[in-house]
Amino acid sequence: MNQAQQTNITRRGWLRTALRTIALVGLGGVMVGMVSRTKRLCTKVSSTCRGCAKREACGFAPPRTLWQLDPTKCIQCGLCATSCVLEHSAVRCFHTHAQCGYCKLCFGYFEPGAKALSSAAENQLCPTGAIRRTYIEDPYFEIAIDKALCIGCGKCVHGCKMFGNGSLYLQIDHSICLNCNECAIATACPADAFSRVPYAEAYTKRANGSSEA
Amino acid sequence: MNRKLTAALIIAIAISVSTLLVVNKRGCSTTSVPESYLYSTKVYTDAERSAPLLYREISRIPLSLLEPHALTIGQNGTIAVVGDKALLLMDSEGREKQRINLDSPPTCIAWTSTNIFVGFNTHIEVYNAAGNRLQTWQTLGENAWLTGLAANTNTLFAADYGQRIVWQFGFDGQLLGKFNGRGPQGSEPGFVIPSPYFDLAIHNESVWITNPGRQRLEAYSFAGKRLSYWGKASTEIDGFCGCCNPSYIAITADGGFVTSEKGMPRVKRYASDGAFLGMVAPSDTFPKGTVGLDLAADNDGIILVLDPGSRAIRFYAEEAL
Repeated sequence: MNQAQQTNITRRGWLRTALRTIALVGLGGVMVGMVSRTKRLCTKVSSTCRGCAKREACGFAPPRTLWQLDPTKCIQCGLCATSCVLEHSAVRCFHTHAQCGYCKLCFGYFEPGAKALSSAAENQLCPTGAIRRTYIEDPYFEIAIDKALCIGCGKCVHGCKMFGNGSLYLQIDHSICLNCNECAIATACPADAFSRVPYAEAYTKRANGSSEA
Repeated sequence: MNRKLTAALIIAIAISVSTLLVVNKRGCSTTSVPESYLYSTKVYTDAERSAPLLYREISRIPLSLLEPHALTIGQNGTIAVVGDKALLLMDSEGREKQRINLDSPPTCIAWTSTNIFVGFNTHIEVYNAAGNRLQTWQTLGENAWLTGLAANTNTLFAADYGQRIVWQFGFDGQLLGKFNGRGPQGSEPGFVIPSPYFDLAIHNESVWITNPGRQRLEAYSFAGKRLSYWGKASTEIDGFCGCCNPSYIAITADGGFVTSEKGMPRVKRYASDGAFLGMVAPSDTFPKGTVGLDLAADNDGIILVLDPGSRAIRFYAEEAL
């Protein structure tokens, strides 16, 4: 029986099957490639690695450029929080303490029309409660960003930029960012605030540095 | 049969790939932003609408400056404006009479009967009405950042945002004194100024100084003793919101106050006791993002607003006039 079946396979038939198989495998490969590119999920470090959060440990050379957003162009539209391929966006709020006014009535912290200048949840502007407010001395309060909670929506940045002095601003956190070849947030950004910057200038230079909680 | 299956499979794959490409290009459906992520100014605009509008804009003079910073009124209604690296002298109709080029960007200006004082970040220069430079005073330190000037008959007061103090000079440039608003025992926090908006104006025997971090105006004697204050932090229209308001002030002939704000760029009118009277110009009349609405009030009750967003001086008169 087996011998009979083997003899039924013609050379033309075998070639046709082989070609179909190669074509299907090729198309499948293209599709898988597109899916992985869309999800921006780093699979394995390879010789073509463009760098990721683990690049320092893996031993490969750092990327020549990184994605970063320009705070002067940012309009705090909220898309940074929702457009990143990561479930928890790689964009975070940064805070330059040296620039901060330590305002009692901080518009990066309090909801417009807050009934009291207290830390009660209903008075807080941040949708995730990522800003910590600490009393220093009358009338000064210090705020700090909890990076684990910050989602990069920029709501506090808007309030600070509009009413304060702009000590709060958004940046891509490169300890989280996958540095995708095509950044999904950059694609969605209506202000064209994203661009690739040299690795040595990964973060916006602020006169006196920045810090987070 | 096989051919049909293969063709169908290829078409399905092609459609899938195309869909993926399109979705990818548009950033997928994750581009919608929840309402809770967006900053709303509705509470402020609603408060503005509830307030009476007391003034109307009667004219507007365009300026030949890219970044106008400050204005003042001289004698006979003449107007002086500084910005870029220039001092503009205009007649009462707003016609530019003279343009004086300056060495560095000016930040503030005051005009007495004899002299025009132009403030820069760290020093003051004195000009006469013809536009000739008479004096250049010594620097006030590398941390100085002058943002406001006001003068009476023999004394010039200069608000220094950089060092959070008010300087007091004779017209010859001699330093007469300075004060920081902390009181003799240092019991007060002094001038709380988170951003470079620190203005002052003189009325009778006192100098009124903005304390924007405390959302109020404070009156000091010429010796630097605090006499009184008014103003409160509030999102209601009678208070000041933001960490840096009021940003500029002017005092009218009747002793009342005109204030301008940043964040919500608007101009308001207060009585001499600080009671809110109404709006001069609501925020929707200025270009979005406008900051630095310097003010002046003439003896006829006309309020001059320097609008950097429109690069113009805007004149407002009371509705009844």
